[in-house]
Amino acid sequence: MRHPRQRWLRHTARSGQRARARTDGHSWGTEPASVLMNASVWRELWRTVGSRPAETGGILLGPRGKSVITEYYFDAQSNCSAATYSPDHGTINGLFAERWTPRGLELKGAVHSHPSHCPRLSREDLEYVARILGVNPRLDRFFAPVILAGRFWMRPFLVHREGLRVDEVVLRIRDDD
Amino acid sequence: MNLDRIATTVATDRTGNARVVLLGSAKRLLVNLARCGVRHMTAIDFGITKAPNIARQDASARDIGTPKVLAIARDVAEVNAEARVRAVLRDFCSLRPGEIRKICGGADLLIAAADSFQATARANQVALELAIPFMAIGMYPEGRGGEVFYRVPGVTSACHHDVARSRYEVLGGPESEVSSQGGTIFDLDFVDAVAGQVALGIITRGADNRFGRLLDQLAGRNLLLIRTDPGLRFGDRDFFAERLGSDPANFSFSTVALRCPADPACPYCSDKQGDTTA
Repeated sequence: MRHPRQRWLRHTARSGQRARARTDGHSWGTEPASVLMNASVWRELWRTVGSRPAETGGILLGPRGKSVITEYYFDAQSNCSAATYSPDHGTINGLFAERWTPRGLELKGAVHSHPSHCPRLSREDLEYVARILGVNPRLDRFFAPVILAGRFWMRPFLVHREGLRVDEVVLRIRDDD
Repeated sequence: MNLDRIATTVATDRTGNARVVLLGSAKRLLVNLARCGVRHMTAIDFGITKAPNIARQDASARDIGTPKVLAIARDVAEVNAEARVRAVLRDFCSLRPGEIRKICGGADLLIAAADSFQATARANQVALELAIPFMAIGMYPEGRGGEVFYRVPGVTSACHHDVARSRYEVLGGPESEVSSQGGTIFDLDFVDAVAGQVALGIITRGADNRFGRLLDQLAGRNLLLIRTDPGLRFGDRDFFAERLGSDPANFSFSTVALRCPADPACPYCSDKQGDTTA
């Protein structure tokens, strides 16, 4: 991921610690650390990013103040190469303003794929997340799963604002259909 | 559990020591393996039983709202009190390699019976990496049939990618995910009955009985196509008529066993194709 010059990055959490602690017993940062995701999102992740060559991606969204990922936008127009995924900021900005924010959704993270020999978040990925956190003072964690193309393996990374610490968390899927 | 009545056909000393890992929610398959004496089982699935599952899966009303793997564990315990199912409510595709080694390492059989093609594909890779026997069960659209693929190290070479290459190539397209929509419990049970017998053949291979000889009798035919609808076709082809003849007596509810060769250029198993007896 790179080039975070996006207004859409600010369309994020008004969620405080109290709101997080209320949700489903799956709040981010509890032990064992886990992230809760709707099954429909999970299936769509694999149908899109997980089924294409590396360095494609998408945006992960959820209800404001709740620690669950309920919506996903596949960034089909992103500027991809074999080594980088660059989001389509124009489209995403518009969707935040017109569709997602009015529905009470906020940014929870971004998924992207790597070649199978790159199983970790890269330095560029972390710089990108740092910029997102920089323009979103209320966002103290950013979910940044990496899908390893061809290995059918998703690494659910959670990046913490504090020291940009990266945890590989447990991904919990809940049925939503 | 009293296994006297099946002791002549099933090597219960072997099933009793076997470790079987199931990916997905094929409850009846695991319960029936427990009836055959399998005691050490793991079930991996994140799904919760919902009302529509009852009509087409082996679920009951009391399962609604229960994680499918916990329902499996309960039902297995009701059938075979000596059997234990380790229930793992996780997404197989996001398990870490260490977790996978802990769950699957040394297993006598890893069975992929999940709706997710990606989960099956990862299970195929896991089985190759850990050199454990693998089986993948799939249903065809509307439950008109199904297939059972297996790979046993030292017996067959081809991996799941080799026999389902076209599906790997259309990943993300409509053909890669086959919905169980329309399939009935009869279709599911019919395919699972075939899969269960092959599973017994793998677990007890070499025993001096019917199931112990099954894998040798298959002689490397590693893909079983199962027909539950007389009208089942594969594109323009009717594999059943091609192999079994077009006499009307060859009606349906039948199986053909095909030998699918390994792909020397397979990205997953090309380095593991050496030693086979078939």
